[in-house]
Amino acid sequence: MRWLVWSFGLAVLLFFAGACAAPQAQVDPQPEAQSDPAPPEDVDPSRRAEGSEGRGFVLYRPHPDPIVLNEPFEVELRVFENGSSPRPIEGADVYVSGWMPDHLHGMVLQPETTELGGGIYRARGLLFHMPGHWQIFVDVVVGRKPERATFEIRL
Amino acid sequence: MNEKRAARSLLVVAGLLLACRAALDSNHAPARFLETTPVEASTRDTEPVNAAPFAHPFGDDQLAIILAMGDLGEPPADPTNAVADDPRAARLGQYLFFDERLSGTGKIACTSCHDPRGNWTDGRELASGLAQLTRHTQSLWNVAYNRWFFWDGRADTLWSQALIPLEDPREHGGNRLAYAHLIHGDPELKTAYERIFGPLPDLADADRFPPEGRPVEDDPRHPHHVAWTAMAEEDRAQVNRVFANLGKCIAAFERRIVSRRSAFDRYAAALRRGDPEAPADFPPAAVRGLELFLGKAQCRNCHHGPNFTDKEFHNTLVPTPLSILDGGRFDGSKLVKQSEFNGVGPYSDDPTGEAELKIRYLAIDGHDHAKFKTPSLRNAAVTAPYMHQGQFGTLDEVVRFYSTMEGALTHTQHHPDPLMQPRNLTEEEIASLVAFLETLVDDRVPDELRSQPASPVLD
Repeated sequence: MRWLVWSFGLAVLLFFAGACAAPQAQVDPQPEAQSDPAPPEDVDPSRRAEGSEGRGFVLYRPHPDPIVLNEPFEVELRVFENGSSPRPIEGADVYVSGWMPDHLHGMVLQPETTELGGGIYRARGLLFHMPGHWQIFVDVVVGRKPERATFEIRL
Repeated sequence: MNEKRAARSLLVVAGLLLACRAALDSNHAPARFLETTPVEASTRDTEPVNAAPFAHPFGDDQLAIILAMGDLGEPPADPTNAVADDPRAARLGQYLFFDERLSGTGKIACTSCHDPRGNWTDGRELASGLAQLTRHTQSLWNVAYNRWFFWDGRADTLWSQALIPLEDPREHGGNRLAYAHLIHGDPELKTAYERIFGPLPDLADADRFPPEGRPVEDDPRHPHHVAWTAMAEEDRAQVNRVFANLGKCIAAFERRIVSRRSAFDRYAAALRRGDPEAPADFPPAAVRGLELFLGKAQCRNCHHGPNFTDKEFHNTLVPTPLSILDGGRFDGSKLVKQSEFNGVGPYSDDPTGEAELKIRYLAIDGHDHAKFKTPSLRNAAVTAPYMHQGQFGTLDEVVRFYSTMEGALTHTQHHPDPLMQPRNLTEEEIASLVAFLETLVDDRVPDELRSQPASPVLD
């Protein structure tokens, strides 16, 4: 009989403990560190493009992600110089544009880029207004030497 | 014996408590089975056991596109117009929409071209107000979903669009000072205005506020321009504010002219639900037409999304009956950036967000010469004629043009467009595409929107 009383007590305890427990709060994921100078190792290959002249490479991340057809978006760009340990490129002139190679036209907007520091740049004013194959051109100019990284996107 | 009975009682109570706990858990955080069981139960209640979704020819990618096209929501918010969804503004705007006093002659109203009995357009090839214009009147169905306004996008908000015809000498032929005086001098209009926007400026001083005036940049000696430029800057701003507010009221009314419950939408909804039967008003020819629309005919390149438009501008090489050179979007881009009534200007209620994005980043591009806005295809079947100069009288003619490109302009070589290629459609394919376009009709609107209300004041 005693074990039954204990079992009952335990059931009551479990009931109230469970019922009164607050629902688990949703915790926002930690924002990605922006100040780390080294490029992350687990980058999606489609988010990395080598420079046309072989001097460096660019990582990109759109916001919102993924890009929505006919909705404005921004891109964050991390620009690196090649080397045994890639180095962020600061103070570059960075130009961003969009192009539909099958249609032979670009975007209706002309994006503007701002430097955030640590080799990170943000471009605003992008919009892909038609479905199909788009390219994002990132033209990086350092010391009058231009270099183009191209990202391929299909909407 | 008593111990056994007591033990049984305790077990029953414990079982009940655990059962209650399970029920409470389901309210805090739905268990997995609760996410599916009600749907399964309702399906069992309402459908035959072996009912399968009706057959269709679309793959998963196409299905996702179709479901998105058949899901047009309410018109998007317009933060640049603080009264966009104010019923009092919509009432005053509707009253003004039908009011012929909003013209230089007292004989032209918005309805002169945007006739509510004619699907909010005029059925003419070229618009005609006080004089004939060089472009076709666009229907107002779903106008609130647009990103740009006019065929060339020279307005970026619905309220600023409404202002331009009011002063165009070929359309209403009036001027902003006369309109401000009209509101000021009519007790009902004044009451309606002031209940929405607060006190009107006192326009009684004719030296400060002449009876007529507007800027006429291309004719500085025009009496309207002379009167306007002689005014103090702050007085001009007060009149501009009244003028902009009239546009915001007209826009609040026009936002109600919505079409989003067509036969196609019912078909998309049936696909979404997995209904066992396809709607009878979406015939097999329309299904074939929809396939072509997404595939061989490539209509979706430009006519995509739930309002069947990319909201932007293209040169379709359509032959023009007029000999004039029309710069289209190239001119429109420059005009909208310069306009004092654009979404980032002093009369906008929110110059940030999308309004800022559209104007700040808008490219002035020589390739935009002779491009015109992609119209929505909703209600296209009841708003003939078509194209920016009403070049085609039927949808059949439009589809045949894209099929053959016969008569297409060839002299616009400075921006070749690989998309402008003949689609080489068969007679059956042309008929199917037209059958599909005819399923995009929903021309119902509440009767009370089709006439001038008795009063501009909403009690």
